[in-house]
Amino acid sequence: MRRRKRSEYQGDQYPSRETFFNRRRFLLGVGKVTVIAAASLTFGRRVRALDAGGVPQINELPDGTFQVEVPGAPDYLSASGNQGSSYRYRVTLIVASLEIATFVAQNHLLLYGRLDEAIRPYDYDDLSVTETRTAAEGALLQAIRDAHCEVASCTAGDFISLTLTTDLYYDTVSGCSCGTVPW
Amino acid sequence: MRCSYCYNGKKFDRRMPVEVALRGVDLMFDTGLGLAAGHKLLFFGGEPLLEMDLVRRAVDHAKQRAKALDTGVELRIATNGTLLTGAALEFLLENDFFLAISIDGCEQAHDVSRRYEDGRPSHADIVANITAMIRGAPDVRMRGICVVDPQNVVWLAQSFNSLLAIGFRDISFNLNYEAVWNEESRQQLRTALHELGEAYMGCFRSGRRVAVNIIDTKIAGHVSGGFSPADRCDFGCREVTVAPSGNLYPCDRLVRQDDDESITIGHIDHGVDTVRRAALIKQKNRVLADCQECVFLSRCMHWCGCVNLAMTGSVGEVDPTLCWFEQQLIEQADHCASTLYQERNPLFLQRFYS
Repeated sequence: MRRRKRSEYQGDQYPSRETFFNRRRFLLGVGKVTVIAAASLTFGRRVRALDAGGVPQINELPDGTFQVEVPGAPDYLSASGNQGSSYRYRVTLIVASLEIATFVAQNHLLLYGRLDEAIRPYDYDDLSVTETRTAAEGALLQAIRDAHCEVASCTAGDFISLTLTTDLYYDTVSGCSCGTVPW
Repeated sequence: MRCSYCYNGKKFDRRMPVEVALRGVDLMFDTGLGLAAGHKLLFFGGEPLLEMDLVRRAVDHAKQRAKALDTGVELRIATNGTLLTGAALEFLLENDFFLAISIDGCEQAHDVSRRYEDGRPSHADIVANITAMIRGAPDVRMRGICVVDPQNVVWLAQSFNSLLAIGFRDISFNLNYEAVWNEESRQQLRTALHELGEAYMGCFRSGRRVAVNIIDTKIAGHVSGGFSPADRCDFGCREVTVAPSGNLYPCDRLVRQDDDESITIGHIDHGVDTVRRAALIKQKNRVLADCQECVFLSRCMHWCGCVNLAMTGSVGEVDPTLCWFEQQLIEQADHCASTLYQERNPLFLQRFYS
């Protein structure tokens, strides 16, 4: 047998699923909820962007509108870029009417199917540094305020997708490029 | 058919009595075999379409049993494709069979080994049958089963493209472990795997969904942290093969000429001999000291008793050539996956990380 030791092999330059999802979980902390709130305020609609990551539920808000929470936040939030000096963020928010929200909460598996069709595949990258979160949030809020946003209709289902794309690049802290930053 | 690499040895022309087939079906439903993954009934030969009456009887019985238990049964058949026509095909389609069709890819790769008894090539006939079948039933569930042998390895990528062109989206390449792989054919395999990898990545880049077992399983093994015990066949725990004689085997590949009692795990008359089965599983699952620290250990098929038996004559003995094969496959799969990951290929991310 020709045993290969870990130190002799670097051919597997792609993450395990566990590592991948850990990165995604980390991505959940970049300020999405804040952005959702800002987006709602910006567009002034009585619809609610959907936060995610938990058990599907519908919350009636004090103003009489409803908010639905569905799992699968990584499907809505994307970050792409290269390890090293810059990142570009794109956040996609899903808004829905109450009827759709109810349906979604009751059939969240179907939602996944619809989202697969409705949302263009996302990029994931090595967003990992705590310090970038503040910068990301700030950049996104600024983008919203500056209306650096595009509103697009999904082709599948009844969802409306608000795609907020920042054109802002910013420096991140050093560390990513050497690969030592923990996920 | 008289395929040159057939691991079933000489054709023993033994037909399965109807009673054995029906009791085999009963074994599945009565013992809970396959409950975890659902009841699956696979017909395997020889060529099972030569025994359509038997297949019909077994299917009827399985459906009755499933209905009585308020459950389902998935039907599968492994066929050489030469008889995929007429009433037999109609029956398979009506019953939503999953078809595992033996076809070695392009004409050269196929006809070098897969010939009729009189020596005639079979590729053209099989392709014609499959093409006609797809025309009438575009959603037919099918997989191409492709043997990779020193005689046809140079056409591996060509075969992959040929199978795609025919209409296959699910392709299983099975190395002929019993063949002699000398240094020249090993080099050819290395080159061929690289070419296959390029073609595989090309599919992802063009958004074309394909399944290729020898690459997919190695990638899946990495992203899931290695094969778990549940990923393994478990050698007779979840799957039992019934030979025409009624002997039970842990895998269809092991029946061969049905003359090796050391690898049987019981008889249809007495059920599964769990003690024998446990002993075989223990044999095949042992890990050699040499392999303990190998980075590929959790992704390696060293535990496949069928391959071990084919290569060493023992389900528990691992041949160094298997080690070489596994390393080639893993390295090529990792090359594809690393490249597609770096490209953030949407189909790749969806496929392996959703």
